[in-house]
Amino acid sequence: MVHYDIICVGGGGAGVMAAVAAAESGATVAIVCKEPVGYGNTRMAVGLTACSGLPGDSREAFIDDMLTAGAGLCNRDLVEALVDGAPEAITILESCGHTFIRDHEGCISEKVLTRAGGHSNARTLLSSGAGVGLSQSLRAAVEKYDISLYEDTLVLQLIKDGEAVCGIQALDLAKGEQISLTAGAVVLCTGGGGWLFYPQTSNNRTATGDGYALAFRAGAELADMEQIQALPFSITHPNAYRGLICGEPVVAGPAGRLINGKGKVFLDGNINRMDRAAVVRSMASEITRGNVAEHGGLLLDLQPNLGDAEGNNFRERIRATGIFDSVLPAYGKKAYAWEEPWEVLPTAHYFMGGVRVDKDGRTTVPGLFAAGEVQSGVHGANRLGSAALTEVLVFGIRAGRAAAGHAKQNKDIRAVQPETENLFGRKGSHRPITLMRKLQAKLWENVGLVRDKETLAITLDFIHKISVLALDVSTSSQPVYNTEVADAIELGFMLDTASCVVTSALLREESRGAHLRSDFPVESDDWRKNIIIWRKEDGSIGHRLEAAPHE
Amino acid sequence: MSKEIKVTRYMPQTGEHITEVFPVPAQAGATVLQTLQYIYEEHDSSLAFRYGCRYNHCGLCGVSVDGKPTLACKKRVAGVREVAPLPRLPLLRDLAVDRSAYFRQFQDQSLYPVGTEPQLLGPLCEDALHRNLMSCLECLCCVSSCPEYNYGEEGFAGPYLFIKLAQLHLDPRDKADRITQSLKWGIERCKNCKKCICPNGIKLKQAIQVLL
Ligand SMILES: Cc1cc2nc3c(=O)[nH]c(=O)nc-3n(C[C@H](O)[C@H](O)[C@H](O)COP(=O)(O)OP(=O)(O)OC[C@H]3O[C@@H](n4cnc5c(N)ncnc54)[C@H](O)[C@@H]3O)c2cc1C
Ligand code: FES
Repeated sequence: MVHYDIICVGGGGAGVMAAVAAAESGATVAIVCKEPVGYGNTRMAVGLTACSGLPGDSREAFIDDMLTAGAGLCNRDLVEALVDGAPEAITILESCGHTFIRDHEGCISEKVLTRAGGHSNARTLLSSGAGVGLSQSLRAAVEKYDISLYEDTLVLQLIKDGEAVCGIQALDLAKGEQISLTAGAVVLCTGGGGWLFYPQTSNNRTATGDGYALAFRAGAELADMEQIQALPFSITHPNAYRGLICGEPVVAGPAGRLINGKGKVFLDGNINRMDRAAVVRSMASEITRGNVAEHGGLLLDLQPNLGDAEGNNFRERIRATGIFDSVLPAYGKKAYAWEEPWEVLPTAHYFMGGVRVDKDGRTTVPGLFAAGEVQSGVHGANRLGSAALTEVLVFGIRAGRAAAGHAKQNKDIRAVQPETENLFGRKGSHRPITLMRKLQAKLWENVGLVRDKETLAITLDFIHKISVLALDVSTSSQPVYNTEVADAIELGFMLDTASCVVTSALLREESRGAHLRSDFPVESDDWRKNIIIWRKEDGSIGHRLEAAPHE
Repeated sequence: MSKEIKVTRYMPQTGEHITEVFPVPAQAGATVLQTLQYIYEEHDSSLAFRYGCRYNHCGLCGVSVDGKPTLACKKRVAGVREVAPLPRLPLLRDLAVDRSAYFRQFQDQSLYPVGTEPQLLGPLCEDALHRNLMSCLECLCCVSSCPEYNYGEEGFAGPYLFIKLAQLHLDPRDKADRITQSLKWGIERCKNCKKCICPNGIKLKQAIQVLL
């Protein structure tokens, strides 16, 4: 088997930064990712990135903002690491070719900084070329640091030597061949799981939550899996664009308002001062009462912002970020000019929970590290806008460094070649894509916005039923780029991740942050705790509650 | 209401292209991508194609629609007769481009700023054209529409690399000689051509001009 000191699973922001940091520490490094490098949700991001240490801001204010938004579930150690690590991470990224937007004099000043939703100060940088510009420099980084690449390669499982993770087994989609690699340490950087809710998600097609399932199956602990952020504003129609991002609270400006299907204004002004969870909560209450517009959404009216130079200027600034690009093809020119209201619905956006790690990405399994959206602990019950990119960069670097250190101590790898199962040309009764679509529809309906005990229990049963059907799938026998086989594998990951989400959602008998329970509508002090889950020997899910460290 | 659409598929075993016809719904506002998803979900899930973001934010969904390279997620399906893989590029299967094979050619071209010390958010005057090139989705439609380019032929890189080199040339942090580099990759052949197209109107011609 080919050996690397470090294998990074995932080639988005976290994976590439982990690889760069490990390579800088002298390790041999490979990135294995199921698409080409530089894709994932990082590529689709608006590119807003929070930075610390800017004039007029303070370390404490940044930390406080994150802890406040996180509603008692953040790990303070991780929040501090994010704030302290941002400048270095941003410098490394720019050294690979990314450009954060400067003012006309070429400087970072209040003219180019944004105060994103829930932040008390303007500390958010804008990216030249948005997430795409940022991701171009990720490919460049791979070249610069001479990192080995396995693209279009889907990781199937983590290989263990006793208790420790020591490699991966994967499917090279381009050839249709299975490969195994050994490593001194593996860093999981597989991103989030918004695709569990397709089409009601802002995420890209590969955000199928693989990393949660890979870590869970390898025996690692996960935390707060019920905390999934919905972004308040997404497109409702036509279907091609359903669920795509068209804004976050900042976009509403000082005067934007939300109107329900009966024409009643239910949020008027100051939406831009609210955090995402607060806006979603107030939208959810209109939606559950059935006060919806034609396509099941609510109306976001931005016109009150216009009329003076300042308002028009604001619109142009927001437009330049590309965050509401999708409004033009979906709703047309007038809507794009803010002259007509948009129909909007919350959409599944970001997993705050995930693999439990310390501030260096160490999971509870030796040899396994995790960084980026797949990890937990940074955002608690609610994430501030622009803090995810900072997170993936900072924790990618930290985990890459720590993993390289671990690999140095662990030269003696004895990996057993895993069994290979034939995934091609299966003759079962169900098509993977059909099962996947059924699962997704059910998850949005029952777990998407507002949850309750009964529907969550029904959903767990449903997941179990689909899991049984998923053992009996059909796949084509094409070896080259067989996405049906990929679907079958991803469906398996999605089912495990969904079980973790629903189990945690059932456990948390309160509403906190992004987790809304109609049967427990208020936040309870008794629940100021992380829900930690793991896979027991018999395959069932074990759990315990723990007060968030250093809160 | 339904219509028929032709899909041309690349067969890696034989190197041939075959064309199949699929009935698809003629839904208002439907995109080519949505139609491919429909074919995959309802008719034939062996159809290979790429996509990521569903609207103009990743560049994975490039295909040739009625002979013109474009993004499947942006293009409305109304009036479309045929979808085929991007010509001139290495292919995996059906509509899927072998992107790794394409990018591997440039793996040693130092496509990052060379020769300056990194500095935290240091002074940087970004050229307007640089900003424009930063939003290049790398969908490869420009390469696919270039009459001079064919994957595998030596001596000419095609527009994508020149866009990248122009971007670096315009970047004050980069001290490498990108003009000589672009000459080595045959940029001379772009001089009187200018036939490449970008579905997002990235300023290809201006970028190439910067190097010529
Ligand atoms: C539309 C949108 C806009 C956003 N805008 C912003 C913003 O402006 N600012 C901000 O801070 N945050 C933003 N976010 C959030 C942020 O972009 C993501 O949280 C972040 O990019 C995640 O980075 P990552 O590296 O952890 O994962 P990703 O970038 O998603 O990368 C995951 C990688 O893992 C690979 N992978 C997954 N599973 C496997 C497997 N089984 N085998 C092999 N490879 C695998 C994928 O191929 C991919 O390379 C946005 C998110 C979306 C969806
Ligand atoms: S799917 Fe991303 S650009 Fe078309």
